[in-house]
Amino acid sequence: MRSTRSLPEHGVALRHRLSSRFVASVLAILVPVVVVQVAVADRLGTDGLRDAARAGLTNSAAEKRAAISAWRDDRRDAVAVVAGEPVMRSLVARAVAGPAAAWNEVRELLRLRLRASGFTELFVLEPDSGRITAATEPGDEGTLREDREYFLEGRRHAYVQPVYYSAHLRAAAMTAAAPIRHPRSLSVVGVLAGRVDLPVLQAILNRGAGRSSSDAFLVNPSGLFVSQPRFWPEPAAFRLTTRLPDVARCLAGTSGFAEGPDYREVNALTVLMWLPEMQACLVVKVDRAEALGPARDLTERLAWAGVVSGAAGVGLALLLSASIARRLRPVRAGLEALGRGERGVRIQPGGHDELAALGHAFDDMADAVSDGEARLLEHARMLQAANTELDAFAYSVSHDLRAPLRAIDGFSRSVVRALGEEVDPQIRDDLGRVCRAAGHMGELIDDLLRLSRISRAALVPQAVDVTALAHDVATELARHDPARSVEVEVEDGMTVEADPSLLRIVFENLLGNAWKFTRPAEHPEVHVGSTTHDGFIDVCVSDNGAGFDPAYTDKLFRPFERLHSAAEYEGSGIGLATVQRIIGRHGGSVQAAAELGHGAAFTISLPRRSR
Amino acid sequence: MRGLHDPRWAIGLVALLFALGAPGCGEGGSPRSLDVVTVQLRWTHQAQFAGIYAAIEQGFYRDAGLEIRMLEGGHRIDLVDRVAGGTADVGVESGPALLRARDAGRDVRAVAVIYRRDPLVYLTLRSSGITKPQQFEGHTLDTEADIAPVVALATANGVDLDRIKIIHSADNVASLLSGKADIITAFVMNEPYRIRAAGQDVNVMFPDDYGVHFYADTLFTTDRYLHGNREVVQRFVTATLDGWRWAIEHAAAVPALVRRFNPDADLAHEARFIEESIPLINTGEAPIGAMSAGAWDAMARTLRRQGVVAETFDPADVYTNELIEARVGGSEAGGS
Repeated sequence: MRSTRSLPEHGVALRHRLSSRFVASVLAILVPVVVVQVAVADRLGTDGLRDAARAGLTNSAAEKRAAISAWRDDRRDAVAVVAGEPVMRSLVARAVAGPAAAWNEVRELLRLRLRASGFTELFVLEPDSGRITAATEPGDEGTLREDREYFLEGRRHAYVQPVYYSAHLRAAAMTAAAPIRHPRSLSVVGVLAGRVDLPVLQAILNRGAGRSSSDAFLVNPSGLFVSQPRFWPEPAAFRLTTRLPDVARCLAGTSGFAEGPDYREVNALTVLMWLPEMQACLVVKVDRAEALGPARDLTERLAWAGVVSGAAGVGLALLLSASIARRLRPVRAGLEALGRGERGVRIQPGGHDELAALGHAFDDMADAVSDGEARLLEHARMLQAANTELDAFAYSVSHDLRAPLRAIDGFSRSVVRALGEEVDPQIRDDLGRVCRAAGHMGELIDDLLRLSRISRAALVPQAVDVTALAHDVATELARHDPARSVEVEVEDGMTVEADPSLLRIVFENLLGNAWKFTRPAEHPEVHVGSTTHDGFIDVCVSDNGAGFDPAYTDKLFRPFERLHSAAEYEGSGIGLATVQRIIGRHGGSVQAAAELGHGAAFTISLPRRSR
Repeated sequence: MRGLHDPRWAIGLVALLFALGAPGCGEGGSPRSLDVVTVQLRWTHQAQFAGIYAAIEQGFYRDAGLEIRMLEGGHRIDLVDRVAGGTADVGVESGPALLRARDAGRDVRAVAVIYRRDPLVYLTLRSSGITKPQQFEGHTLDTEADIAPVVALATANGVDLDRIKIIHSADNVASLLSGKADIITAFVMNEPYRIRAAGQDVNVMFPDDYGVHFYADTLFTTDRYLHGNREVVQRFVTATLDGWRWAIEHAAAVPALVRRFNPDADLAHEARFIEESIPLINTGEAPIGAMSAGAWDAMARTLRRQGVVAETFDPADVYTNELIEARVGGSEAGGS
């Protein structure tokens, strides 16, 4: 029962442990591989894209720098061309020398040149005071520009003042200026200044924005934005300040590459280029997320591939473990069947792998078990036959012996009767002995028959009240031998699981012996008690009788062995053999302990539950 | 039960009080002892001091270990007296006023300029046709008691001051609208709007366009205070300029900021004020706050020409750029 119940549990545990081990192994291999692969791919992809982005930004910055430089030179040349025109020089020279009305012609000329030159405003300054004497914006005439860089430089040569804040325009401005020289004396009679069209600069900065987050702007040495970055929602020129260390380094003249938060606190890849002619740092940047995004996509894809292959691996592991479990199942079922006693079960596995070998091994084992069991059964059968024969023999011998015994007994008595009173007393005594011997032999034969029957009788175990049984047997003994007074003490409440009629025989023998061997005792006492241990109950029958020499204990239980002469104590000599046989059939054992002249104790151990 | 006589009980109680008391004191007061700096404003609370408000509200002063107390200015308050006399540690005054005070022997030292360009402008009605100082001759100018800016303008543009009638009235806008005056001096963030609100177009003349370059609001202290508290002033200047940088970058937030200090502030007015102020403050030619030797020389030259300061007066005595320069160096190293 135990084996058939526990096997399925083992089977389940086995399969689960198998699958989890398979899955763990697959994951142990796959996870590090995928992690390393993803990390390497991320690193390589990111590095590659960063290099590419840096190269792209550097190219873009160089292009913008060249474009800005060319545009600035163009503005410088444009103002120099207008300032150097003979008509301009002669008109201004005449206006300076002549009446105020002559400035109208200068004003007219400025208006004519404005459109072609590409400036948003043209004006002429008086070279000593810096006062505007003629302008395309009439409101500016009369104002002073004496401290402006373009004026101070423009008196000597063609010059473009980089982007600055014009307090007059209240906006960012860039102004080109060049001296107007007297046609003959070449002395400076005026300074021509042109307001540069700043949206052109903004257009150059915005040009070729390759990516959606591309951005380019200029920062002046005060850290102020002088152009509008794409992603600042408010006007930034001369309002927004950057204090980023990379920009500070650029403003100190060091161009370079940076990675970090920009003016919006968004991580960006940035190329910074110092433009000396603009007195500004050119910042060209792209959001890190956009530039390195493809690497992240690749990494993500690889990570997903890793997840998918991991799932596939786990699935494969589960399939594999399931297939192994499936092939182990017949072996398990076979073992269970074998356990239940079915001997015909065979697996006959297909294939040639280890699991097939296991199946073949099972089959071999089942064959061996079947053969062994068949041999055992054969032995048992032969043994049974021998026993039966022996019993039949013993019975027939006993039975057959009875007839001559009866004849001996009967004829002896009839001889005594026939002889009557005249018979020699010696002969009468001898014949009496013959009769008694025949009777004794009859008892022996009865005991032998009983012994053989005990061996063959079917066991019907049930709960037996040992206390009541012992009292019953003791009462019976006392009734047969009313002359003696034996004190019998029986423990209360003793019960065992046994065949009641056989157990009665046991107690008849044990108590009978005690009764018999306490004859020498002055105060004969018999005690019946019990102890329990390890699933056994020990019932002990002890007396204070003649006892026996412990050296002969092993002879006690052999049939017909006697430790006392038949003259001293009557008996057939097979009582204890009978006891041992009955207790043995119940799965128990009998022990004897004694001392010559000081009583004996017989202990029968019986399982508390019969099998 | 442990009795009150058990000394361990008392020790435990004392320790508990310490444990509760120590952080409580720290939070209730300040994490570290703050240096108190008292600032004398040039006028009552308005967007003119947005940078200081921003530095307070953004915690720039607190981060610099400073606690700021502000004193409002007014018509009757002599700003130089307040600082030189020790009532305030730092003040806000115009460049020419500081030059005159130094020339008069007062202990003043400019440490940073906020309004590099003067918001004091000349206004005429569009209908008058007066658009240039050269046209002032023969007209009436309503201005304040201090006519130094007017003298400077006249001098720089060859205008004969004797041919201009100068009056001082309580309400310059009223005198312009009524025709009592043809020209008035006014602040660019105030009066032009009042005149336009009255339905008149207005011509605005900036002295900066006519050769007069006066520093307006300039942070100053005294040499005496600077000597003992140079590092405190350094921190004050740095935090104040950070505040101004913030205010300029967040001009839209300034009106609400002003209202925290002046609950009566008109938000629209303060918004105009800061918009008009930014071009005068953040001129881009140098880091915010930085003063130029050329500008001080030019101011001193103008005042000498007017005879307001002594011929021997050296403007180098009135300002120092060292605190600004230390700050610029620091910002480049530190970044943010």
